[in-house]
Amino acid sequence: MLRTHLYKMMFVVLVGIFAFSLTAYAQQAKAEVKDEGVFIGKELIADKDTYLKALEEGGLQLYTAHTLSQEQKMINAFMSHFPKIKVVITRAGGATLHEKMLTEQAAGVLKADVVINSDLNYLDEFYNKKWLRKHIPPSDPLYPEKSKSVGYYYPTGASAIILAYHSTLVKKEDAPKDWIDLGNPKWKGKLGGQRLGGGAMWSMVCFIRSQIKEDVFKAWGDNHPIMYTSGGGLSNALISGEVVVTNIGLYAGYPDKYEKGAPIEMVYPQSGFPLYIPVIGLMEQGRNPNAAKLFINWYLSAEGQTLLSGLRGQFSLRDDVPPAPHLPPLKELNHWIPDPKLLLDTELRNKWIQEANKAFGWQ
Amino acid sequence: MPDIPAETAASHGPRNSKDNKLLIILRNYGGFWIILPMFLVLIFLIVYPYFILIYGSFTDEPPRQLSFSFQALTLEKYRLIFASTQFWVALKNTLITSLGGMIFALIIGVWLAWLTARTDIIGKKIIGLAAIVPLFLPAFIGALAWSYLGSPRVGIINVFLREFGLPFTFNIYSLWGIMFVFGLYYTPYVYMFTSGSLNRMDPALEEASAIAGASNWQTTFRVTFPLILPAITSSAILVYILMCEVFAVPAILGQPAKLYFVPTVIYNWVRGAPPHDLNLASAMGILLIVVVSILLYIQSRILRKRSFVTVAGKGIRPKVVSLRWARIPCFITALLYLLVAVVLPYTVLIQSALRDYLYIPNVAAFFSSATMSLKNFQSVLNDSLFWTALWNTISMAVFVGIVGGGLYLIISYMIHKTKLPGRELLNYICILPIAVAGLVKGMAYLWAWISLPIGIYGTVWILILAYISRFTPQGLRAVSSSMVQIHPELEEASRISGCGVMGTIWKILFPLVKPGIFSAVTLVMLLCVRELSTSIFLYTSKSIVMTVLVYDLWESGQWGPVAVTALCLSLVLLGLVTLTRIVLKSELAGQK
Repeated sequence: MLRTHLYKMMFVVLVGIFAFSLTAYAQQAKAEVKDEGVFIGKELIADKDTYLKALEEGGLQLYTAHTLSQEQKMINAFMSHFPKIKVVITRAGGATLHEKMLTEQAAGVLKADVVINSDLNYLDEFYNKKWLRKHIPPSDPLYPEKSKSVGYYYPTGASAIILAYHSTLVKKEDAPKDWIDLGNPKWKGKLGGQRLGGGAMWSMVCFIRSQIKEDVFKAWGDNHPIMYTSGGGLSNALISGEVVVTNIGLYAGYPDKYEKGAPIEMVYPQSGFPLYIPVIGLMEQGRNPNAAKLFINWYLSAEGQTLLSGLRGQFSLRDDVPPAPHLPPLKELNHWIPDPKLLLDTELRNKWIQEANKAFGWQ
Repeated sequence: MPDIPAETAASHGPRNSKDNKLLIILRNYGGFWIILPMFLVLIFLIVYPYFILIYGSFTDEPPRQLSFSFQALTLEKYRLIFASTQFWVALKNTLITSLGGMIFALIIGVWLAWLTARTDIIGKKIIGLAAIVPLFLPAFIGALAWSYLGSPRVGIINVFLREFGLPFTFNIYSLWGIMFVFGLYYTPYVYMFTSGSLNRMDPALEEASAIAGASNWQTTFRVTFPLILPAITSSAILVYILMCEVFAVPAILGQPAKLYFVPTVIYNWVRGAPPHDLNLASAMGILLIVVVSILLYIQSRILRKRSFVTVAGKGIRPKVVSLRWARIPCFITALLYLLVAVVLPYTVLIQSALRDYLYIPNVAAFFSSATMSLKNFQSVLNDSLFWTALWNTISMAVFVGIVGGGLYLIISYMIHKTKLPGRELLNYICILPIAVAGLVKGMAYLWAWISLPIGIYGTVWILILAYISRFTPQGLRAVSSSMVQIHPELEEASRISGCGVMGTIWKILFPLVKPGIFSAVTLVMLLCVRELSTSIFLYTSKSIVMTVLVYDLWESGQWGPVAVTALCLSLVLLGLVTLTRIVLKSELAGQK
């Protein structure tokens, strides 16, 4: 009897291994090497020369501000196509990553081949210092002009900064419909927010200050918003019911939580909403430029973008890539892509952030 | 402080030639050549990184390169700090909250230590375990768990209070709430320091007190506690400083209530909205050195000219106080701590780990299994990063515990048992890492070691060195609290009997301080496993550790996987502590 069970278990395990191998093989087989280059489906990922040189280099160093668990899944998918190209990740929050890179560069030990940062300011600083290597990925024409610096940095995706409410504690008809609605006195003490600091909240401040006429921050401040240090902390507070309405960045896993049945509803404000756009670039001093090009091209390809959108609960700025599950198509939404000039205006940033903090009661 | 009287030792009994040579070196060269290598090690590990940090606080540009210009020095950053009202508010909040937390931790820690070490209370093992289990959670996970328990609107405690019609609201987002969490999570430090001292104490003085007619309570307060004053003050100062520099607790529990603390202000300058001012952060980070120096001065004044030698040549059988009718009430107080510090936060973690999301509007929802599943466990355990982080965490903690423990033992011996020149300076250098705020420590190590052509950057070795450096104060204090209690008569007796210096260290001193060494190893391992702020600056995906993974998951809002990883982290810590206890027991059994 026991032996029979053992045989059955062994059979199941063997079938599982076989199925897994087949899946892996099938996935790996998707990248096709032709004379014109490497293709995934019909999309050109890199020319043959770049691909062969990338294989010779055999790996690359990725410095990223995307969360590690998400990035690791991206790497696994990339390596399922290109198993001979090993990717080592260095991950930190935007500011910490930037400081690390500046220190490494000063010490002459910067290893980064590819950088992804959440704040355009950091990549632009690298661009101005000529630390970025020019590279135009095959998918370049598919990305909107405002979202990229042609040949230098490109959007890894776009996360919507919108409104959300607790669907059990707030009736749909009472829920906020627009930004100013969060300033309704009925939300006093129940309004949440994320500390203003990184690129995401700066995109929101830019939108509110440049696109909305009302003094939204003053109205929010009058409701004494409860501020959290991260988007993750805010999302947990909303789900637990500690705050019942808030502005959110979808990157904090909202679509995934929604799918799991968490009591949250997302609201796309009537007057529009900003997109927060992390960017990717190729580092000039990197030792593996071809592997890095291959990686960036794949990251910006339909497959890379589809996977990343799902993982981060966001949109791709490519029209041919579907958004994360439970998100409507971006085209149907009144979205706003921040003007890079506005995002990069440091003086204005200090002024507006200080004013917003003051309105919220922060020193 | 008891020192090895080299001259006295040399005048007693037979000696072997190797030992004579050592004594001659000690006498002729004043021990300079013996202490020099230790100074070099500590300069590399501690002085150099912190010098860079201090230098950075006096300049306008972060010291990213190994080039120093004294013309660039400026006091501007300090002027800005002192002119900022935010700083004074933050400093006041930090000092007051840490004081409250320290008093709370002292009361609970000494109480639990005394109960387990010197009374006939029931369930000593349970209480002993309860007293250290909060150490198994990184502070920021503990703070997150308490935000779920004690948030005013939907905190689980408040949900229960409302359900039972009790008209109270527990608000963890307040100064009192932060003091409370500080107290809970730093009690184990006080417990570990004081219980070690109580266990090793010679009962002669207590017996004398009893013979003189003092009651048990009078003896406890007039003899026992004064004798363990070094351990109490050491742990008080240690926890106070740790509370001053910890970021996660005030950030998670203070920010929703708009309460500022020094570490949260530093955070804004390091990771807030650009442009960042790392020099300002460095300046504020090292301002804690002033606070620490004052505290250490107070400690030295308290302990001046008093002897705390409590381990002499006689057998040690600590006097046990009979609690009689108070056994049960005392046990209940210990259980209350167990409930608040262990059961409640772990209940939140288990609930979170088993649920797709955590929303507990009423008591029924708390016990409902509707949204329960093992999905979070599956997602974490199927992630290769988790296993990499687990392996890195365990291997680094064990390595740092053993190597660091050995280093701290040697330093402690040099400081407390020799007359080597510069030993006081050695002591001050070792305290330095604790005086600097955690958030800027990572930057200090990064700036200091990255340019050195030794190839450690980007490997686990830079993390290992940073941990050994960072935890020197804690590890050294754990060893030293045992070391200062060893009466010199034991070593003298050994030498009179013909045993050399090294032989005496190996056969007499080492076995007696073994519990202290194991405490140090355990403590350092625990601290390594919990460490975050330095690791986040120095890791790559190859050298990732568990806390970084937890933080990463938290940043992306994955509270369920955070809870699973935190529970695994606690299991790792429990495993390490159990292992060291087993080894210690077998070692002590072997000695007998």
